[in-house]
Amino acid sequence: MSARYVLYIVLLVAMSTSLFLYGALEETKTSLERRERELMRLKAELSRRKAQIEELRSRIRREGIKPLSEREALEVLFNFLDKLKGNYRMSVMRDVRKEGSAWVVDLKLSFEPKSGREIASRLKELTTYSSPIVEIKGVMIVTQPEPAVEMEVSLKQPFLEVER
Amino acid sequence: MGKVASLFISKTFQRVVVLRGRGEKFRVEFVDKGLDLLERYSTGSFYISIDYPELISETVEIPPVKDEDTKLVLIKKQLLDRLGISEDMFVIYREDEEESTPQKRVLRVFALPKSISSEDGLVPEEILRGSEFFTTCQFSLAGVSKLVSPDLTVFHVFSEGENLTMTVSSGDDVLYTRTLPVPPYAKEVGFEDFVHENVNMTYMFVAQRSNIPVDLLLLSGILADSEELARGLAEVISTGIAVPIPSDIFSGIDGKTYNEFLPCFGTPLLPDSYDFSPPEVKERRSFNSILSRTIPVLLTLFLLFLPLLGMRLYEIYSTSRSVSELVQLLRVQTSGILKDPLLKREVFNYYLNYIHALDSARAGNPLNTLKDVEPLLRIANAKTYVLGKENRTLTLYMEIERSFPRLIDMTLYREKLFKVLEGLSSKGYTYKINSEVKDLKDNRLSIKLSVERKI
Repeated sequence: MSARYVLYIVLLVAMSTSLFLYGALEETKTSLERRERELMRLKAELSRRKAQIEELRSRIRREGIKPLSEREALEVLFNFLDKLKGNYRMSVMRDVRKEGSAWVVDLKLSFEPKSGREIASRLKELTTYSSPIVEIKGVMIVTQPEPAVEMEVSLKQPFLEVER
Repeated sequence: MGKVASLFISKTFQRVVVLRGRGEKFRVEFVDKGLDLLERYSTGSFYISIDYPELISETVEIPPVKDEDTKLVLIKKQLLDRLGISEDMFVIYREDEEESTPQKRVLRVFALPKSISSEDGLVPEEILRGSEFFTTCQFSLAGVSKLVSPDLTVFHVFSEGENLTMTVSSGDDVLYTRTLPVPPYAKEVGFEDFVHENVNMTYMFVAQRSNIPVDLLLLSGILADSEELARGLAEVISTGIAVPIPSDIFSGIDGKTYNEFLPCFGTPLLPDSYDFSPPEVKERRSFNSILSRTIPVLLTLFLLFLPLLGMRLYEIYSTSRSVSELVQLLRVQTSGILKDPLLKREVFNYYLNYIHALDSARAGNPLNTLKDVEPLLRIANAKTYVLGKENRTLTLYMEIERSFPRLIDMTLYREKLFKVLEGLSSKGYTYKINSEVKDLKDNRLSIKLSVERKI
């Protein structure tokens, strides 16, 4: 076989191999670029999640929420009931009970306000509590003949369930 | 510029001229004589011209056929019929345009027995297959004649001492050829007389019997040095007599050597129609020629392709590095997040549920209604307000009981109240009047109404 044939075959093989290699490299490049895009998306998602976590952390700090055990949560609830007893006429509509991971009690609170401002400040104060959570279910304000306010509230104190 | 060896082969000697260049100009690298030149120079690109006195030259008539194979069969049959040659032959032919008619083709046929390419023949088949051109001395002389004068009919006489070859040609057309061996007695006693006699006789035959008008007589080979022969021939023939000298086409050679190796210089100038190579050799040669043209194209494409390949590799390297960096970054960030105690599943769920419960309690707070219905509260001055939440709906129930100094005041109040109630619809509230009692006698108005909004 002459050198020309050999050169031709070598070139043909080299060219075919190069073309095949080029095709394979193209596939690899596409696959890598797809992976890169996916990772960029994950990075963006991770940043978003981190921002959400920071937002949650900040909210926890702002609301003063603490991780409470079941016992501690009950203590907080009872302390709050004691506090309410000093400020309102209180009757228990439904006794303290455990609902999922929270202590819950339903109450009826009433008081005779001396002014409209007192009604506003008392109602506002109740809505600011986060520990326990005060859920106002209904309010009745009577202005005549004597001003009186009556509320149905539900107190809820979540606790941290420890896995055993 | 390619290098090519042009060989002149006979039974008793071998000569070679190695030329550089193709087409228009050649430079003579060197010349050589010997008995093993054919084997030595048959590895590269080489032409072969053989000294073969028994060249068959015949004019035949065949029907007009286009197919080359059929044409060759018809020619061989004619050779068999006319000359009784049944041996396998290398055949070339040229059509005589003047003699041919639409009904018949007149061909000048030249043939060589294939036995010359047998193992012990003049040119072994294996070497013949590797050659670029294969012809005989008679045609090589025509190549030189054309170089000397392309437009004239040249009577070329050449002898290397063994044979006396005469070729009459005009341009590329070989019109007549005759070769005869130089007998031993002529070598000893009267070589020039022998040449004179045979040239004269052949010249007369060509000029008178074949009616070919000769314009020039060329003396070459060892005859180029014989002034006496030239003088003697000038006395009997009417045309001019000349000796070939190296022209611009061949450089690097002197006149004496040029004449000695003359057929070697004529062969590269011949057209393809004087190539005796068999069809398969010509096919291989044309395939080689395609290869020769394809290889540089392939090589160029390959070389052009390499940077593309390099670029692709670089792109992959860059992307791969970027991917690695991203993976590393994500790993670091993820490990940081995973270590965060807030993200322990039970802790995270605790806080999340806590916040949801808090938000839900605040969003469903019936007191939220008070802020939205402030304009209503400002004018209503109701006796009773009941705020509540039922099925994701915040409700405000009001009982209004009012006395007015004049009826018109009551009417104005009522209009104002309803206007405010209508205005609440822009905040998503709807209202309903449960009962309305107007006491026109005492100017009193009692209204029970409820306002509600979906959470």
